[in-house]
Formats: sequence, structure tokens, C-alpha cells
Amino acid sequence: MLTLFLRAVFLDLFVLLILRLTGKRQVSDLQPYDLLMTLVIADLASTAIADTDIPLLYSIVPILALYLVQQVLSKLSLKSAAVRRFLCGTPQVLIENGVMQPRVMRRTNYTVRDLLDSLRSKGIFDVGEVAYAILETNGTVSVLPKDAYAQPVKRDLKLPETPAVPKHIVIHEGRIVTSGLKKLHIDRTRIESILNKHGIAPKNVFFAQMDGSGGLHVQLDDAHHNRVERFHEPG
Amino acid sequence: MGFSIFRACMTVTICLLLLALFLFPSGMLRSFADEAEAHIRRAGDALLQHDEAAAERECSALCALAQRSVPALERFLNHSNVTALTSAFGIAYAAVRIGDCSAAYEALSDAETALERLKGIELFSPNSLL
Repeated sequence: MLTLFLRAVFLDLFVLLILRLTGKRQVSDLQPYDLLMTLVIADLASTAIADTDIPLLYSIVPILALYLVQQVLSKLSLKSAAVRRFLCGTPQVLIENGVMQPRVMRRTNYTVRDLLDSLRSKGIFDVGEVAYAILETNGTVSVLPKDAYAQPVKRDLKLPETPAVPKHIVIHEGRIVTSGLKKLHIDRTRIESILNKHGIAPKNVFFAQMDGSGGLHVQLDDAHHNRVERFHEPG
Repeated sequence: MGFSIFRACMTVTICLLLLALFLFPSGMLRSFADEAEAHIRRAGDALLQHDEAAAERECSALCALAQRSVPALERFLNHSNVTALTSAFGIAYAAVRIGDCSAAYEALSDAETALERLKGIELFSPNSLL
């Protein structure tokens, strides 16, 4: 039993390493080939985990082979558009100026129901509102609404534009997150002094996020009823 | 950047590891199989000539060879196939010792088949590929 346990732990860590090395994201972002490779790797690993008659190398070698093939194909598809087209396919226009494209839909095995589902999930209930709906190579549908139905942005409304600044976590469950402080180019005394100024001890903070312009979002812990505070401390 | 370098290093390491796995296990199996086949052939010849002492020596050598090589072989070969081979060696040795030459010959022939199967799995050939 200990053998089974240790084999499972070893192969789990090995598969984790390989999947990290392939550099893939969440399942919904995977290309069909990458998804297939992930499933095959899982199957190969599970075979050697369960059957102690099989040496671990019977799983490890095929997994390494798949990894190498995947790396070669990734590099080739980065270098060559033709390889990329062959491996990933090309995006297909399913709706053009509010008109569904039956020929494309038949070719891609995309039914009207599938298309309407995708549109609804993007908040569009009328095909006539769509300028373009494009079936991406990873199977998702991107939708560009017609101008008349597009949501206005600040520029359309002539509102003042503010620069977009990323926020970084600076405190998590009472602990100061130094990696977040580094990204903001501040030290822990700065964040402590801001909180002290408002009568908050860092250990009582459940979560705090700060941006480069000094905007600080603080949520206190359960003992302080998860109170939320917002401060602006530039400089 | 750091992760890309790590990935590149890992890819090179994986290539080297695979290369080592293509060379060393097959080399180990080849030398084991050559030695085992020589013993099997000599044991078979001895049995045909009713030289039971020589046959016993060869079968004993086969068992010793198996004992020496099994831990290494099991690292890269299916354990049941290795067990089938070592049991055939053991049966041949036991049969020779009790003077049952036909059973010993049969066991040696089983050992030869098991050895062929192991070679078919590990040693590359167009047949094993397909």
C-alpha cells in the first residue's frame, strides 16, 4: 500500500511539473490538441499509479515524449503561420452583419442553438444586434455588437479619462505581502503608517489592496465585522 | 524570463534523460539476453546429450544471472514478464535436479519465449513499433 501511495505522489508531482512546463492556462483556454495531450498524460499517469506490475518508466517515457512533441509543435506554430493554421485551425465568422452563416456553421458543426447559447452568455438576445460573431480556435465565440447596440465608453460620453492602474495585494489575512509592496515600490512602514493613521492594526486586516496612485481598499477581519474602508494616500 | 530559462533547461534535461533511457536499458537487456541465451542453448544441448551435470550447471548459472539482473530489469520492464522468465529458469533448474529432462527442456523453451517477448518490448525493431 505504501508503494501505491508513493507511486501516486511521485507521478502526481511529475505530471504537475510537466503541465507547468507546457505553460498552459485554464482548460477553457486550451487548444483541442493541448486538451487532448492533457487527457492522455492523465491517463498514462493513472495506468502506472494503479498497476505496480508496470515500471514507472512506462508512464514517464510516453509523458516526456508527448511533452517534447508539444514543445516542438508550439515552437513550430510560433514560427510558421501555416503550421499554426494546421494545428489550431482558423477563426470562423458565424454571424456577419446580423446574418448567420449556415455554410460556416455546417462546416464547424455549430448549431443555431449553440450559437444562441453563446450569444446569450454574452448578454445578447437578438442576433440582429450582432455585427460579427467569430468562432475562435479554442471553441469560444467572440462577439462584436453593432455600433447601435455597443455599450458606450467614457470617450463616447466625453468623460474625463483616468489612467488605469493595477492594484496589488498588500495584506492578506493579517500578513503584509512583501511581493505586493515591491511592485508598488513602497516598504512595510509606509503601509503600516497609513493604517495606523486610520486606527487600523495590520493584524486585523483580512485583505488590503493598493494601487500606484495611493488608493487603498481595506477589508477588516471577522472580529471587526468585515468592515470595508477606502483611503486615498498619494505619495 | 526566469521560467523560460528553467523550461529550456528542463527540456534539454528531458532530451538527455530520454536518450539515456533509449541507450542504457536496451544495452542492459541485450547483454542479459545474450548471456541467458548462451546458457539456455548450452543447457538444451546438454539435455539432448543426456549430460545432466552440465545441464544443471547451466541452469544454476541461469538462476544466478536472473537473481543478479532482476532488480535492474524490473526498473524498465513489465514485472510479470520478468517473473515469467525467472520462474521458467527456476522450473528448469528444479526439473534437471530431479532428473526430469523433458520438463527441464520445456521450461527452457518457455524461458526462451519469455526472453523473446522481453526483447520484443524493449529492443527497437519495425515489428515491435507496429
